[in-house]
Amino acid sequence: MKKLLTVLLACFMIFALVGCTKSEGGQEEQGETAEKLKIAYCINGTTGDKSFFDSGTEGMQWINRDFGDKVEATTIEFTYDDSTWRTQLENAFMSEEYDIIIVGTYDMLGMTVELTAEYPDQKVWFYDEQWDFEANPRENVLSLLFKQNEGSYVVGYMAAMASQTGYITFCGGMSNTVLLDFYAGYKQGALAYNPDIRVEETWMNSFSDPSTGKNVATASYSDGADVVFACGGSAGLGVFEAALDFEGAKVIGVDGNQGAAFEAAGDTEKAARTITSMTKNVNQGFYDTCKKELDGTLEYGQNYRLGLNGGYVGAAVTAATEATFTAEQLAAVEDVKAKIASGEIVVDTAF
Amino acid sequence: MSVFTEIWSILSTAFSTTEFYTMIIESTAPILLAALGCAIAAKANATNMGMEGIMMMSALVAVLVSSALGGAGVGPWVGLIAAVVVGCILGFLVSVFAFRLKIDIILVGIAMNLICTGASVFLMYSITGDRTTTTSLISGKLPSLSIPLIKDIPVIGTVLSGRFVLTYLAFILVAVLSFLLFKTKLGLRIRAVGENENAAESVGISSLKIKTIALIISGAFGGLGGAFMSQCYLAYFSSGLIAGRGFIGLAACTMGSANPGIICLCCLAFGIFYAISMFSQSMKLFAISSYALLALPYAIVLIGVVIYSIYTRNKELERLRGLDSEEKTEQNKAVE
Repeated sequence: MKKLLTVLLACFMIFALVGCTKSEGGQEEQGETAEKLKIAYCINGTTGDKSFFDSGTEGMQWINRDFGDKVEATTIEFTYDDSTWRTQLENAFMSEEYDIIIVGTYDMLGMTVELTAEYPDQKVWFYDEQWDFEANPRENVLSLLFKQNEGSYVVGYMAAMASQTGYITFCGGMSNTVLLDFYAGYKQGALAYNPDIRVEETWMNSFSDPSTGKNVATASYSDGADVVFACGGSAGLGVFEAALDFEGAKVIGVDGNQGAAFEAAGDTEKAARTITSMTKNVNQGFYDTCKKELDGTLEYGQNYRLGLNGGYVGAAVTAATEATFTAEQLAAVEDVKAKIASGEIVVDTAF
Repeated sequence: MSVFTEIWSILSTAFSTTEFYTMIIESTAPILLAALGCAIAAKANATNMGMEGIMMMSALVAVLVSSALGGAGVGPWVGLIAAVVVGCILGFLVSVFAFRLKIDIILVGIAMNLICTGASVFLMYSITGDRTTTTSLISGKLPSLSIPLIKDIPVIGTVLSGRFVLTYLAFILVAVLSFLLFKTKLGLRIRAVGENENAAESVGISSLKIKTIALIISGAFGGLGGAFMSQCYLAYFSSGLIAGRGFIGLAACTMGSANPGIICLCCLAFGIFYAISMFSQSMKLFAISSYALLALPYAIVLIGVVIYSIYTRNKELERLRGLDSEEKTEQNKAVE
């Protein structure tokens, strides 16, 4: 009996381990296919977030699909256990198996700065956080920055357009520079449409706990706000849940086309509340960067800023968008987009 | 003078929305369920550290079972039952490892949390293909309950009526657990085992059996708490869903010295500060950083636990002094 239970416990623990490290097996199976450009997309989380990491993984799939004869792209999941990130990243560097390592977000910045100095021959694409090339000059690093402020300006403009109460809020995950960049654009866009509109920032202090998202949004809606920009990974999903409890409450999604995702899952109520989503096309960003790498036009040691120009960020249009806005209003939005792309409107940034 | 009137005017606008009060009630309920579960275990001198993991696992099972049955009609109810069953099983497992296999119960609790964190994601991925949330499943919600007479009272009606079924159950269970602990034979035995295991054994109570029962009931409470999060509060499971509520429940249980009534008050205090922290952000209630505001309820719990431990230490010292002086008077008598 005792023995059996001990074995059972051991099995359970293996379960837990398998759950955490599943993806790592894939990277070893790949080996031995020489002479292809090997790209490893290292995510400090897991796929399945329906936005950021999934979009990047999709980019890897596009690369394999279109440049499969020259490139081999894999995704490595570091999982959400942040104590292991440094070791896993260092393993990727040490293995010398990859020509290019893609890694990003604020959490990974410090360790990547150190590791790129230790391994000067390892090419790194660092995304979604400012790389200070003056303080940390690296010939082997390039940084991809999405201009979320530009996309946010557009959805902020649309939020102000859709608001009946003249009061909208921003519901962010954690107030790091990227999220503040979202807010800066959102606020400026809203004020550009209606200078008297009230824009408040709220923070969930989490990217994973949707109940906090629901509560923060409930507070905003009951205070009289009618559009909330849900900007915080899966914690932001709680905002959609809160919107269902209030008549006329609207949500703006982020990263992916969340309205379309709800529609695909059969959740028509939430889809109807999602007036638009600020899309951050990480997939497109990686794909185009890879294309440049193959053409030999990619320059290391600098920041690439990917904005509305080129379609790296944007505002998604779904059935709910068309139901909320009139054709003229949508035309005005397109006009704003064009002005930003041409540089006529300069969007505030937190960087 | 003007400062006071200003603060009052801001406070009164915040506290005049009914959502503020409903949020207090709704955010208290899951913590209360967790705390009550910890309480019955604590009364039997068994710390159920695994509450967080139990809640997580049962929250997932509730969603999976409910969606397998179509997510409507009886589905969520069967999901709720499944969650409670899973909670019971996990509670039983804790007792097996801790008391039969003699592993330190705190370690078992930590292991339980780790296993459930991994296993819930593993199960979610192998069954649904999702790794973060189960939003692709239609799992439905347990219904909200509107209470006939109370719902017609203007403001109080909207706050007290129309809450989730499990919210009412959580508050009813406070009374049920008090009754169970203090008025029934089983409760007496649980308390006896918790106070002094050897004394209980000497009068023929099987401490192993009683502790196992206590942990199974504790697991059932955890199951209810988990189902509350994934079937009432939200309509899906997400890997970050429980977000430390099991641990807050454990702290509330300690603060309330495992007494259901006091625990309920502690949880309400947490709920009040939680709601304040949520509301004060968009309302700009206080000119404090949002981080400080979000930490507020947890800080309150910490302060509460510290005050409680100082209080119990003083009481213990007083008791010892009392014993000391009694001894002295006895010695004096003997001398005389």
